[in-house]
Parts: sequence; structure tokens; C-alpha cells
Amino acid sequence: MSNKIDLNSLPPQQLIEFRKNIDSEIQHFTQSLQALQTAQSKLKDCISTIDNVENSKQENLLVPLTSSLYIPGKILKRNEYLVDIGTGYYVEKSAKDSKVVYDKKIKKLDVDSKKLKDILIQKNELLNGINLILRRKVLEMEKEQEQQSGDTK
Amino acid sequence: MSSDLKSQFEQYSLEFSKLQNSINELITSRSKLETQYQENKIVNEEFETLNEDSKIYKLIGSILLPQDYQDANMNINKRIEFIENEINRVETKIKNEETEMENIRNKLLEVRSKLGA
Repeated sequence: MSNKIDLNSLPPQQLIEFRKNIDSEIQHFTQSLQALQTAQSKLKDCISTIDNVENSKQENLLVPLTSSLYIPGKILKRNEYLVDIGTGYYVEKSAKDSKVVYDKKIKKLDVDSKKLKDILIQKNELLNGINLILRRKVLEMEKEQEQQSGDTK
Repeated sequence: MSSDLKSQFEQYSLEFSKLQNSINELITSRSKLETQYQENKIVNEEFETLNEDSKIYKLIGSILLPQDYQDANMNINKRIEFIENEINRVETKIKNEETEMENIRNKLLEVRSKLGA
């Protein structure tokens, strides 16, 4: 890994370049993490909606035709849902089985989020390290310049 | 003589950046394939919990069409196979272009050292 290189030995320009790379990586991973969390909350919505339907005695509901157009409808059969399992396939499932599908997906996303978070922590540590070294190098350079200008006087 | 070297140098660096671009493109398509592969694998796992009696629909355009379990399962398996082949194809391509890039890099360095001399 590139981490094996002693960061202290790199010239400031390369360090800045390196920092830029890490910055964009961190941005990328943060975006992915957000996407995962949005997906997770959508799946949780599905589960709570199933619970709502199963728990309510109401038969009437409004069926959305578009995002702003509804028609009144009635629930004829409970405990029967069409679940999107991905790539355009839908399967008819009972309430319990539907929730199993969503639960599984949420767990999977949890595992991935955890991995992403670990990577983010690592990258942030690296970034802090680089910033420290850069700051020290700048201080050193300033000192040197001061000394030089002092010598010529 | 040195103008010869210079044109050679320019030619190599042109080829080098061309290769870099195409490798970047390949890597993008590789990651797209990976996403598709993962999605299909999840669907396949789901199919393993289903059986002949499951009612399966496929979304075609905006219409849900009923599908046979056998058909759907076969379709997914075929798709996974196809994506695996695509991934292999892209990966060998990436490898080839990387070795080629390494070659050109070496040539570039050679010409540059000659130019400097």
C-alpha cells in the first residue's frame, strides 16, 4: 500500500496532490453512504406501511395514479402483497414474507454502511495526518526564509 | 535529430493519454457491471426461497406481466452468466491496456532521457 511511504519524505506539492485525492475519495464515500441511508429509510417505510395496512380495520384507501392524482379504492384481500425483488421482478407474498424480504435488504445495507464508515474513518485519519505534516513543513519553510533574510541583512 | 525525438515523444504521450482515457472508461463500465451483478445475485437468492407456486410478475414498460417460475429463474441465471462473461472480458481488456500503458511509459522515459542528454 501507498501508506508504506513515509509521508514526511514527500515534497509539499505531492502532499497537496495526495490530499486532493483523499478529499475526493472521502466525498465519494460520503455520497455512497448517504445513498445507502436513503435506500434504507425507503425500505423501512415499506415495512411500516405493511404494518399499517395489516393493523387497520379500514378497507377504504386512496390509490395514487400519479403523484398528484388519486382514486378511492378498497382493500379486497389482505395479507397479499406484490414485492419488488429487483431487476423488474415482482413476487406475490404474504405480509410476513414481504417483511422478511425488506428486513434482509436492510441488514445487508447495514453491513455495507458499516464497512463504508470504517473506510471513512481511516481516510479522515490519513487526511488529518497529512494536514499536520503540511502545516509543519510550512512552518519550517517560513523559519528558513526568516533565517535567510536575516543573514543577508 | 532532436526534432525526431521530440515528435516521437509527442506521439508517445498522445498514445499514453489515449490509453489512460480508455482504461478509465473500462473501469467505469466494470463498476456498472458489478452493480448489475450484485442486483441480479440478490434476485437470484430471492428466487431460491420461491417455488413453482409463487406468483411472479415482471415489469415490462409500465405493465406487470405474470411469469413462470421456471422461465424467470432461467432468465436470471442466464443474465448472471452473461454479466460474469462481460466482467471477465472487461477485466482482460483492462489488463492488456495496462501492460500496453506500461510499455509506452517505459518508451516515454527512454526518449525523455535521450532528449535530456
